[in-house]
Amino acid sequence: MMKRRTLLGAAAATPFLSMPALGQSGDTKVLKYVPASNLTVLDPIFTPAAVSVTHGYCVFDTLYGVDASQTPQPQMAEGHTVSDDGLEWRITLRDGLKFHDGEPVRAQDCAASLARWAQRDPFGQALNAATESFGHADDKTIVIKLTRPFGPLLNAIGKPHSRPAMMMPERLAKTDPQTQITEMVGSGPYRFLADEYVSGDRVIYERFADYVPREGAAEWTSGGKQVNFDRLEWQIIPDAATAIAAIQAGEVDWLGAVLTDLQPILEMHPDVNLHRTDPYGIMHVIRFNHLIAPFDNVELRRVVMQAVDQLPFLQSVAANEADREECLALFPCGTPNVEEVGKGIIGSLDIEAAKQAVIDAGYKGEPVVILNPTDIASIHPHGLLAADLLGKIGFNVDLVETDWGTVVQRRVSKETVENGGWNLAATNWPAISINNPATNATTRGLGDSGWWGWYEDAEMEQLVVDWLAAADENAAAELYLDVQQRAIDRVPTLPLGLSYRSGAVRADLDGALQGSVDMFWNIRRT
Amino acid sequence: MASYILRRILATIPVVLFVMVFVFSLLYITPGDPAAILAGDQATQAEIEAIRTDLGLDRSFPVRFVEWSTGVMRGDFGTSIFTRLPVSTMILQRVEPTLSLMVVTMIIAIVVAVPLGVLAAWKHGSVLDRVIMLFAVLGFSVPVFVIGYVLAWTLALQLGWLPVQGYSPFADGFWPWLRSLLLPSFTLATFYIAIIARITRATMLEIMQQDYIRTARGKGVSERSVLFVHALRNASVPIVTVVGIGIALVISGAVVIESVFALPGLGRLTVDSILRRDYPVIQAVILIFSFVYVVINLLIDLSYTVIDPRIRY
Repeated sequence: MMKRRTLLGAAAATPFLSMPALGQSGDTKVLKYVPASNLTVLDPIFTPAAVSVTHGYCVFDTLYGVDASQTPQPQMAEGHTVSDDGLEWRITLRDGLKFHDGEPVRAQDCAASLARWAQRDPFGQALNAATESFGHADDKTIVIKLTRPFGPLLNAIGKPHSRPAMMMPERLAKTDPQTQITEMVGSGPYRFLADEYVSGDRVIYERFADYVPREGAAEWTSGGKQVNFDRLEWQIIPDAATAIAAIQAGEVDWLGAVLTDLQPILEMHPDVNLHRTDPYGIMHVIRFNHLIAPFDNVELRRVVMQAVDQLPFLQSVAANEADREECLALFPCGTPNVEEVGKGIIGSLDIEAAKQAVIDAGYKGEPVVILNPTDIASIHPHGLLAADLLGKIGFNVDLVETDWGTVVQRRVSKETVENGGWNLAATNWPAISINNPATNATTRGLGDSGWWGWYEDAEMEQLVVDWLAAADENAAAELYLDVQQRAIDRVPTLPLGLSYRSGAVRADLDGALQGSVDMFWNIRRT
Repeated sequence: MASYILRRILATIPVVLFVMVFVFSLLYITPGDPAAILAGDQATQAEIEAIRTDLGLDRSFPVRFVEWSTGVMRGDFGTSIFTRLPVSTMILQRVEPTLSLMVVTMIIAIVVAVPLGVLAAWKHGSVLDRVIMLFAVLGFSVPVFVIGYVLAWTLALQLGWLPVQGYSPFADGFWPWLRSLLLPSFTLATFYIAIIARITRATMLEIMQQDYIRTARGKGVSERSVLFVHALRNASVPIVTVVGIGIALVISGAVVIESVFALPGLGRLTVDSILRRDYPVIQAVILIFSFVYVVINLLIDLSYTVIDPRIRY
């Protein structure tokens, strides 16, 4: 016979058993997404962070997108014309474009957006240097007047990663480029719901009813951006294992990133598929500080490059063979016009030979300070491996293990190591963001005004200028090859190869696209 | 009593002032540059400098401290360096989950631990006593995130009884709210169950040796009354002290639990802000935490007078 207390206990437990798991996905009109990191900066022009780019593609649109072959395709633009001398570009907007506040998109908005973007983005800065003005002829025609030909103009304004040129209303686009824009009014397929945004927890969007997609299939950032969900909910889950559990339980639909050692769990799950959004991967590098000894000596940089075996570096961040690729070049292998010009050079010396080469190159025993962030899993092992390698070939290594916040502060110091400077620091770049001579900060020779490490190379910069002004594709490809060879010869940065990151999508979703970041059109629940 | 409370409240002022100066100074000398983090990997030194100037991070210590502290006096904690949202808005968004976690955790801890402690003391030396103390030791020893993962795997992933992660606001309904808190709260409560059960047992054992307990039993008072009325009430002062300290410590435990279970609370906000050097948020959160500690201590002291009428201030 059931006792009274047993009955009461069972009754009390009933609600827990009968209720569906909280947040369980099942609403066909809501897409639940977990980004790889927290979204803190909303302005996609202010920061190159991938999560801000992902957010940017929801809210904003671009004049041009790219297809899978990285060829620019009109997006907000109907098309363009170029003057015979190549100095005047006219871009016409297509009909029916509206901002989320109901205002029509005008050429004035786009000209102001381009002007702001061109002050923040490296490719934009290159364009800016060749530009007389970003203006308009009428409400639908943007006019870009150049001072010299700029061949890859559409590649620049259609770039898919690290500050794509996203269009905003003129009143927002006139904000100082050094100041973040926090009001999110774009003309993209999703509208940002500011009153539901909780930084560090959730970011909510709704389908923009007035968005007019292009005709045709969606591909990367171009084509018809058909939205099949009324609501897009981002949930920030800081713990990787919890995120894995959440998608297994069906509480979320899409994980932006899955740690490599947790992938086997999802590979075995019948309701979850791994999805690799970015086919070009991430390029791992170690940056030399060119201002101080010993790596102001090109001979020593060459010896280190000749001594490095990329495989252990890649194995430390990508357990599966399919998730890594040795790339003997300073430009990402697999992207258009890149050749492995480092074959026969990178990794060509064994330890003993490298040891002798270090002595021959004139190393005087100076301390080599390696900055290593312990809280960044994709970088930390590379600091350890670099310290091990350099120690073995005779360098006097000082491995400074600290947090990311401290590394980024110390990294911009131009002082000697005794006064807080540094010699080596590992980092990584989305390959797509460094896939040409103008955008690859790791090879640019801008010196003091360039990327930390301050590599100065006038000849390299001239090659970049020539490439930007190349008359045709063949000339551009030849100049690009010259840049690649120059980079391998001067070793501004140590290349460590490519790794590929996968996310995960519930099996009842179909149509997740490839691209530089996750994109939320085309995908639908089956 | 009223003058005592007033004196205690006034005494919080120098404590909070000290915390203000200490926290601001500490962050000022801590390495790390929010402008460099904000600027991103591609940034040049000139861009970082421009952002630093735009955010006012290039100004001197006294100027920044005076501006911040006068703002705090007016209830304005400033603006987040990263999100550009008012710090007070960010904190208000995070208070409910953390407060809910604290309340449910402590309710579970007290409801489970006190009877267990009493039971262990009552059955002192028995197998039951040893089993309870074994669990108490485990509660001390096993890290909360391990308990969290095990419970999440079992109760959420395998059995599907509870959500794996996330928080449902109270406004969305009591049951969804409670269900979203059960796993994290029980996980966090294990440590407090252990500590409260042990202190309850130890205090009860001491009380059970007292003459008045023997007298009560001699008078024929039921064992339940002896335990819960005569003994437990007299053992309450140390138990309440531990519970009070526990409430304060839950804040630090919340840092881990909120990350494991993706609860959008103050603990996560603190960690995120520290990692990216979001100074205004860190300063505000620490200031609020220190104020909460002071208030909890005051409440503990006041509760003594209720539990033991002999105590007077």
